[in-house]
Amino acid sequence: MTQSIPITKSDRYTSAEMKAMANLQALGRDLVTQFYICLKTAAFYDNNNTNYQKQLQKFSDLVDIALEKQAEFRLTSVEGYLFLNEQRLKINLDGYLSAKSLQKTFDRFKITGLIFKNGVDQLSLSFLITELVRNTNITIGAEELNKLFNSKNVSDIEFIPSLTISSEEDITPKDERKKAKRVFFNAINVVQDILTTPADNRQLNLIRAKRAIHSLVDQLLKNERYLLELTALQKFDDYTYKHSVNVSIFSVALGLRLGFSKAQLSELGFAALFHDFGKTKIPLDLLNKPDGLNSSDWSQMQEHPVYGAKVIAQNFLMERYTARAILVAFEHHKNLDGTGYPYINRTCSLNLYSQIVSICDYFDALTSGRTYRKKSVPVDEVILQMMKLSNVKFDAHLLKVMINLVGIYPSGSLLLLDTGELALVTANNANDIFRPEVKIIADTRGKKNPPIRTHLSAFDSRQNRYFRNVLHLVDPTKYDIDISEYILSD
Amino acid sequence: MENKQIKNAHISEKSTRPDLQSIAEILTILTKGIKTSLLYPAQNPIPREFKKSCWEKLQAYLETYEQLELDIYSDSFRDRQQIIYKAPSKEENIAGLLHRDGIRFVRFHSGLQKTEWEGFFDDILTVLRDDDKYEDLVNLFWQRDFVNIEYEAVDEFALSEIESNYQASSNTAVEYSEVLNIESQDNTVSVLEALNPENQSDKQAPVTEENKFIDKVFQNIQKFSQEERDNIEAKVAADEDLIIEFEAINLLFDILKVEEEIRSFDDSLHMLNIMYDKMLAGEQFPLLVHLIKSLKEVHRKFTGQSTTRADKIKDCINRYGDKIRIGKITNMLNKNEDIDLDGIRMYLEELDWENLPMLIWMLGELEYFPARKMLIQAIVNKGRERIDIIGNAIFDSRWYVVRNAALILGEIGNRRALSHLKKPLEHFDERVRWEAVVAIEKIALESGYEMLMPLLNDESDRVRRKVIQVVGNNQIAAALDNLESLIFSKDFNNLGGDEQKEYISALALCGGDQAISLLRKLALKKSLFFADKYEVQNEAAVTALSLIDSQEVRDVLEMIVRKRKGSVSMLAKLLLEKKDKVVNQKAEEQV
Repeated sequence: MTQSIPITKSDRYTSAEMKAMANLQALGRDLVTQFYICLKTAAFYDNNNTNYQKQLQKFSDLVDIALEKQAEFRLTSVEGYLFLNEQRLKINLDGYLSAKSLQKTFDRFKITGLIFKNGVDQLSLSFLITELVRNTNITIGAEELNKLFNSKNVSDIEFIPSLTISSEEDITPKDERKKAKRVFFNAINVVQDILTTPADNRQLNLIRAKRAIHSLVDQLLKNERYLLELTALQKFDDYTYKHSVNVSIFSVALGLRLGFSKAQLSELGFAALFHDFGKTKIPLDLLNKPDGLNSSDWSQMQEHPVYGAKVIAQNFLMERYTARAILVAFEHHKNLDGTGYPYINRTCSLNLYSQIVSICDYFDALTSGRTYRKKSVPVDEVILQMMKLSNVKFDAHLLKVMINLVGIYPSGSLLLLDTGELALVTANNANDIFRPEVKIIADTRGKKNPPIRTHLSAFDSRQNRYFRNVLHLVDPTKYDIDISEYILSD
Repeated sequence: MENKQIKNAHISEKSTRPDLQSIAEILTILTKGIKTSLLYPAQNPIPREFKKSCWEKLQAYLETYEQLELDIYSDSFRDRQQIIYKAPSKEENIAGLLHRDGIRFVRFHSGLQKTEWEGFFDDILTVLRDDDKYEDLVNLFWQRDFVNIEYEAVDEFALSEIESNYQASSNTAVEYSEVLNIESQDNTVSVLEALNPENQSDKQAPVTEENKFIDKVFQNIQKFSQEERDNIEAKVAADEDLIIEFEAINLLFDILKVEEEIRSFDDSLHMLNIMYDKMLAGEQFPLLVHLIKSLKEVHRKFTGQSTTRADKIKDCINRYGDKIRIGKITNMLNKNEDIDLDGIRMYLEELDWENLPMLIWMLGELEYFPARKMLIQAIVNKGRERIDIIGNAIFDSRWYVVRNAALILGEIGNRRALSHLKKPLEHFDERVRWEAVVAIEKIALESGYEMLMPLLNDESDRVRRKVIQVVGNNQIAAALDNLESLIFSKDFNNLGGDEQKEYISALALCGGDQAISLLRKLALKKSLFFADKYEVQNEAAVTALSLIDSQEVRDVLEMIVRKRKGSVSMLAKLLLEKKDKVVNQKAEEQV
């Protein structure tokens, strides 16, 4: 019996959804998200599981839609971005997690991406997902994978080998950490140079500043964890330079989650780097005053945003970067309703970049202490305080993005675990911000063994509970623990 | 610099042996393209052709070889050590430029887009034109975010003093057992754990004094609702609509407005002046326009409030149209034909009237026609209320300045300009006189036309004919007597045929019915010995008669048909037939 209306896979989507998907951007994002969901589901369930099958079907439908008007399409990862054919996919808050996860998967197999060809069916896709999830061979690359797939008669999926310039040895986490460290300290160096350079030469340093920011952005695009970890380093003679770099790192990482383009990220990073430029006009002894500021000190300090705006305007050519930096320097202590300092009322609302930097500035300032000698505020208290200030000082939604970026226990936090161990947080877990990645730095007996890396999300399925849970934060300064030792070691 | 090797499984065998000769050709054309782009304006076909040719050859090369790699040395492009292309001169050393900014390797991939290629080309030009060294190639390339162009820059991130001096303690003195002992007795739980979904499902997370004020946005801390996502997207989109440089300028002026101490006020003004100078050097005219507008707004605010501040701002505004600044703009206009003319025009129009003399001065300094045209437009817009200042330009010793001043006065079209046009009408240079005639026509006043009468006898036929055209088009009755005496003078016969026709037509247009008898005379004018001596005048007169709408004309034409032979008679007959046709047509329409 023939059917008057052919039943196609696309019937599973409404016509409104079809129209949206016709747009390459939307299609690309949906493909990435669904791909990630399939990989995640396959990690927990076998191929016959209903949930897995459902997700796979959706993925297959999306692939079919993508292949409707072409013989093949490519999904690739280049320099921290995902591409559908030539179209770069703008990944925002929605798809950030899935995008990063997919990129990590590609990196693991040393591939740039995949080619899906006409004729690819659900079976082939299932084989692909299973291989990506379960193949533990760390040396396997595109060539071997293609051979494997061909031997299983799966020829409509092809692996694209990595084309990136690489060193003679493969890039290891150790190399990445080393590179991140170099980028981090270089940025501090650049800030210091600019802030201590006479005005005449500042324009040349602007070029260096941009390069430093570009390196930060590139590093964050590739893998943000190492730079975020470095923000927790404390022992600097001059807080201002390191703080500027930290704020820049947090701001760019936040901007990444908002779907900012590379140009926007670099503009944001630059503005964040110079948000305290006005402090060059504040006497050093006031800046580093450990005992707290009296009202006169405070009045003087409150001028630094105005100084910052003026100094930047005076020293650099007016262009997008500097214009943005002027706004951020001026506004980063203003509240959403225009209150806050400096006490100059304006009719326009706070610039978005200023709001981002404001959040990152407050967070870093309180968690690292304004001077080295001063005690920092426990990070959970800082986050709580910031939440209470949301919609007054901070935009609630942006703050929520920030919290998800750093986690409840940000990198560098020292934790007491319910196992009696002492652990240092090394990276946020985007899937569960209450369960970060950690290094166990002292065992239950207080013995300082070589640190063991683990995830607090590691689950004991036999006992049906997590292996480790957080009891509370520990203040390292109380015990003169220098967390730098653990951050800088491999 | 790290020693890096490229891993690329896709390159076919033939593409591993680059065709160095083809690459050299591409680089030769690239160099010429860059060189000519610096010499000629963008619209000139020469640099465009080179750029196009370079792109085509590069594209063809990449189609065959899939990639093109270049090692960058200070004087040459190389394939490893082998020189592919050596710069012929320092000025043409593109490799040297890349090398200077730290680039040591470039690779173009097949799939290279034209926009990427043009970006690469334009960035090189930008840096070459950048006298003040605001940009470098590495930063510009990074901002381009090339997909199909790879480059490797020198790793300038050498070990810094900060990094090498940073020492982490080994924590050997820390008694971790003691730490654990103390901390294990502390039963506090982070208040944020109340937001942990694990705790919420147990309903064990009580609402406390501390967390009850937390916005509901954070209750589901790890998930973003559609509303939240839309809100964030809207914020990002709204920011993309801003002209951020304008926002920054607005901010600086908001600061200026509230400076309490005069010293701070002065500092802010000084800062604005420095900013202005940088913007001017950077040819950022839209920003300069915004700056001046903002200054004027502040000036209005302070007028009546604080004379001192108002005066200081006024000085600033005047400064922006002084000889130094205008001189710089003039140099820019003479050096670069591609400059933003619209932007400059808006800037000049934004200056106060006190700067008009400088603009007039500029009139004589500009080398290119488009720039002069722009300036004239600016002065016209600016000078409508200041005709006297423009009128001063007629005393300039340079004829082209006087000519342009006349043009401007005509464009303004104000009656007060007439008196200033008298002198240009008498100028030794015919081009000035001609322009003055045109200006008078634009002003369109009877008194103006009267000023033109003496020029009916002008020594320049171009000027004369212009005057005739003007009086004829405007049917200036006052010109009738002058025209009559000219036409019937002996010298009239020495004029060219076309000019004679113009005079005679003008006679008809200016005289109307009064000219009929004169035209009849002309139409019947004969030479005893040379039949065709006055033929031009005869025919012109007959044609001119048709310009007059009168029954008498019909009679004259009929008489000409009877009395004259040849072409004159035929012409008259034709015109009569035409008139009849028109009359019949009108009659039919009425019916």
